[in-house]
Order: sequence, then structure tokens, then C-alpha cells
Amino acid sequence: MIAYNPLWLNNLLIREQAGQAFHQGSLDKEERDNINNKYQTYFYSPNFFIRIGLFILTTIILLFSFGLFALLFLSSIDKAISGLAIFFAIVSYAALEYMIQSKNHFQSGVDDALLWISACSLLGGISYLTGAGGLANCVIVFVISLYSCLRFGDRVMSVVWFISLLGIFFFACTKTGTAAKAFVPFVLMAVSIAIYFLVKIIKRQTINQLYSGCLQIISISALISFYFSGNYYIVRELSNAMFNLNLAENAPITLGWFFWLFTVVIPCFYLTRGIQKKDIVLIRIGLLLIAAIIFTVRYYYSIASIEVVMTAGGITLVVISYGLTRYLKVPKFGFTSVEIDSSGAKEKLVIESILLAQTFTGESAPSAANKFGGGSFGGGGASGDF
Amino acid sequence: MNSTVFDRLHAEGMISASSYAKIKLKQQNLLLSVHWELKTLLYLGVLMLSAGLGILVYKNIDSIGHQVILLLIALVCTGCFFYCFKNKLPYSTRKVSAPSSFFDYILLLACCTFIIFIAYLQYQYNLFGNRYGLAVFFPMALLFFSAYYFDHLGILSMAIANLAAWLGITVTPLQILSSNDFNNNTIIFTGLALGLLLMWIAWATKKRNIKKHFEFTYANFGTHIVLISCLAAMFHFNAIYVIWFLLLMGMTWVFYRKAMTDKSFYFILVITIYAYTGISYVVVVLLSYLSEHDLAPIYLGFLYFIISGIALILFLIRTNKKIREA
Repeated sequence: MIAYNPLWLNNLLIREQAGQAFHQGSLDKEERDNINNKYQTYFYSPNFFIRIGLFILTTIILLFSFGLFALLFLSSIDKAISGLAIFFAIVSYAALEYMIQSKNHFQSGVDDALLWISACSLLGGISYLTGAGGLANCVIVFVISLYSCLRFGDRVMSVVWFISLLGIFFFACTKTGTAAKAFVPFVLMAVSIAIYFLVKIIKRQTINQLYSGCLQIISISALISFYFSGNYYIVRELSNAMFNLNLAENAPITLGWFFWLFTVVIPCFYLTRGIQKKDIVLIRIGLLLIAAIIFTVRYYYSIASIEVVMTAGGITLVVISYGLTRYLKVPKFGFTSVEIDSSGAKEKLVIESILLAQTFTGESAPSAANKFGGGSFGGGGASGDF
Repeated sequence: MNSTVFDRLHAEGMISASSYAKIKLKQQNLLLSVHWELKTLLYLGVLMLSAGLGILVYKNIDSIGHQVILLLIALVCTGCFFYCFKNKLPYSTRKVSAPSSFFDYILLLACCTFIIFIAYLQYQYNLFGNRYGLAVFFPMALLFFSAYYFDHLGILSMAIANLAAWLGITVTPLQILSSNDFNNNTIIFTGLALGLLLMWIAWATKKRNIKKHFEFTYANFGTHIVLISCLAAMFHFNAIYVIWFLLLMGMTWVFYRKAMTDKSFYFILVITIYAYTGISYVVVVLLSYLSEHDLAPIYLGFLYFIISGIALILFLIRTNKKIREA
């Protein structure tokens, strides 16, 4: 089913695990080298930055090739465009299979670009040809992204697949009538939960470990979408905009108390479960969604002015992180504030320094220096490196 | 970690019994590091605190009184610096790791409050008069000093951004293209000079072995500024763009040699993109001379992008191999 050589993919997985164990000091160098020698892979996977370069260049080549085709049909472009796009998708797909089967490309940037361009132009072509609406478009995306996931194990495609699934349910509900509209949040919650537990079951089968990356991403998306399908802000503003409710400002919605409860409880629940089960992904999502609670509450109830909230919140965060860092210096309950796996620490520091330069430095040119604080505070936002 | 993988490796005799036991033990007593999560919280905390304090002061400037505010900022600033001086590890020209991740952010807060302090003095009491440059110079000097004295990469980046601001250009990553007016001769020449200066400092840093790990940060800012200035000059002085194109190519060659000796994939990517932009500009300009009426130049242009794209892909693949094997 998967286009890449499955044996090599398995070997790659083993090498990664061995590398991780080596960095944590469980394996010695000789053992790791032996494992790497025994489990060979012959994929062409260049360095990450080269991958970006190859991605950009492949995209340029494909776009200009498409432009060249389009130029040939310039006189009748309106009629030809969708056929052209579908033809182009097929050609890029053939090129993709060729690069994978005979050139052994794997996450090289070339295969990524070919896959995405091929999928997008196929979608565009079919959608334009049939004049598809919301629901039909979601179905087309669903089919294309499902195939791409299964055949190429692309992680971003799996997110697209999940979103299109939610889209199908959303549009199907809105089409059935007014009664169904009220249930949209609950339907989306149910879909998210169902997918989350389905992924959990699928993950247990060892044959599915080639898709472990995709499955992981899907379960993260499901957790997040579960929360946002019940978040008060999303429910209120989205139903207001989509169903023309014309709500007055601060007018409550039906079942408002439930959605408020949901907005506040779920992130805390994620965080607690994450700490209990020592699941770092759940902890990160929980932390991220706690920020969502604050934004939601502040949107409807301005308890204090923004600067007071920021100052107080800043102090709280500094104190909490300081306290926890001190407390967890000696590992407690299986948590530690010390870095265990130091691989890539140098890169992380460089990224951190660039982030600091971006967020803490103003654009103050000498002539503007007399304006106090002229935009010298980067917008406080969720730009953390989660 | 996947335990079945190690079960299998152990059964095959690829890993020794002691290593296997270590892995099993680690899996049972799973130790989770929340180092980067706490660091992110700290980062957000300091960011919010400095921004919140800034707005708070700005809004209440009339009611609290200037001396009180200045005193408050000065207190926070000296308090933070005091903490840093007390807890720092001894200075060395090599890399000195911070005593804790908390230390890094307290230093950051100290520097931020110092910048606010100077800006406030200038705004309210016009301390430096019309010599606005001085109001940027002092924070910059302090930032460079702190970066070296306490060994802080982030503060070094801020210091470089301030140095550029002192000279009149913006170099923060997301604004470098949008905030600068590259149709201005002074900006182009200043940028070129600043970039070359940073490249020279990067070179000296490595050569003299003074805080060698700072080299990347200098070289990173330097490379981008030099190449962007060359490109801007090409577009701006379009009568003599050939000269600037040759300069761009020359710079690219120098940086390429450097990237190859440093085995840096990142710099290879960066200079490839800039050089490609320059070359494509020249090709498009030449094609536009060809003919104005028929479609031939457009076809040729499209063909150029396809063929040059393929050529560059082959180049990147070859370079990747070269660096890996070297």
C-alpha cells in the first residue's frame, strides 16, 4: 500500500529508536553502529535545509511547466483549464511515483512538492469542472487526502484529511435543517472523540507503525478539534456568522452554561490527564488550550484592562516556572526540569535567540527614538515554541 | 519509545543484556523532561511582563509621576542585574553555560528594563537632546556587554539588531524586507557596510577564538544583510545593475566557500536562493530586450525557469553529497 520501500521504512524506525536510546545513554556507540550497519536504508533523504531548497525549486519547475501548458491553450483557457489541471495532476503524480520507485526519494523535498502540487491541481481541476459547493469540495479533499495518507504517509495530509472529515459532517448537518444546526457542536465533538479512540486502537497494531507519525498528528488534531467544537467563543461566533442569528452583543446562546463549562474544564482535564499519564503531548495541548480559556473569557468579560492582565499573568508565569524549575531539579514523580536528551540543543538555542531578537527588539530607527516605546514591544501572543 | 523494537534487537543479539536492562528500566521509570515547556512559559511570562509594564507606565504617566515610575523601572533593572552578577559563572572566552534557564530570562528582563529606562529618560527629560543616536547607543553598548559578559546568544541577537537600528536599518527577521526602504542609496550602502562588518566580526570571532559559538549569529545576520543589499542595489541602480550583479556573484562565491568549509547546509540554501533571485532578474531583463510584440520571450522565460530549476536541484543534490562525505 505504501509507496516507499516498507523494509527500509522499518529499518529507519529501528535506527531512529536506537539513535534515541544512544543519546539517552542506554546504548553504547558500538551497539548503535552495529544496528545501523545491519538495518540499512537506501532512501535519498537530504539534510533538512536542502529539503526546503529542493521543495521550493520543484515547486518553481512545476508552476512554470503548468504555465507553459496554459500558454499553449491561451485562446480557450476558460474551457481548457480544468482539463489541463487534471492532466497536470496526473503527470506530476507519475513523476512522484517515478522519483520514489526508481530514485528512492523519501522526504527529499522533491516528493513533498510533487505530492502537494499534484493533489492541489487535481482538487482544483475537479472542483472547477463540477462547480462543487462546500460539501462536495470536502468530499473531494477527503478522498484525495485519504489516498495520499495511505500511499505516502504524509503527516500534513493526515491533518487535511481530518479537517475535511469534520467539514463533511459540518456541511451535512447544516443542510439537513434548522434542528440539526443546534447539534453541530455535539456532532463535531462526537466525531473528534470517535476518531481519537479509533486512532488509539489502530495504533496498537504493529503493522500500522509505518503510519505512526500520521496517527499521532491525527490524534492531536482530534483533541484540539474536540475542544474547539465546544469552545464558547467558537460556538457563539461561528453559529452567529453561519446561521445568521443576529445575536445582540453579549446576548447569551442556548446551552451557554454548558459551553462555558466545557471551555474551562477541558483544558484542565487534558493537563491533569497528561500529568497523570506522563504524556508530554497532552501536557503541551493542555497548556496551549489554557491560553485559549484566557482569550475566551477576556473576550466577553473584561475583568481588568489588558495591561494589568498581562503584567499579572507575566508575574504568575515567571513565578510558576521558576518554582517548578527549582522543585523539579531533582526528579520527582517522574518529571524533571533538566534537559535529558541534549541532541540538537545548539540548534534550539539558535532558534531561541532569533525568536528573542524578533520579539524583544523594536523597529526604532534613530529618528524615531524620541517616541517612547514606539512599537518596541512585540505583540504578546502564542508564539512559543511548542 | 517502542519496546518491541528493543525486544527484537535483544533477541537478535544486537544489544547486550546490560543495555537491554537499562532500556527496560528507563521504560518502567519513565523520566519526562519538561525543560523546554518550562522555558517557554518563562519566555511568555517575561514577554508579557515587559510588555504589560511598558503599557502600564505609558498609560499612567500622568497619574503616578515620572520620578516614581523611573525609580520603579530602575529598581527592577538593578535588581535583575544584581541577581545576574551574583549568580553568574566566571567569565571565559569559551562558552559558559548559564547557571540555570531562569538566569537567562532574568538577564533578558534586566536588559529590557534598561532599554525602557533610557527611552523614558529621553522621552521625558530629553536627556540626550537631539542626539537621538546616543539614546540607541547606550542600550546597544549594554546589550553587547551583557551578551559577552554573561554569554547570552539571544541578547547578542538583540544587540546586533540594535546596532543596525543605530545605523538606521531594521534587521529583525520578519521586518527586514518590509520595514526598510531599499530605494534609498544610504540604506543600501549602510546595509552593505554593516553586513561586511558583521562578516568580518564573525571571521575574527572564530580566528581569535573569542566566544566562538557567537560566530553563527554574526555570520547569519551578515550574510542576509550583505546579499539583500546587493539585490536591492541591483534593482535600484538599474542602469549599472551589471556591476552589482558581479558583486553579488562574487559575494556568493565567497560565502559558498565559507559554507563548504563550515559544512553548513543552512548557508548553502540561503545563498542559493539569493543568487538565484539575482540571476533570474538578469535573465528576465535580458529577455525583455528581445521583442515586445510576440510571445517568444515569455516562452523562453518559462523555459528558463524550468531548466534552471532542474539545474539548481542537481546542484543542491551534489552539494548535499559533497558536504556529507567531507
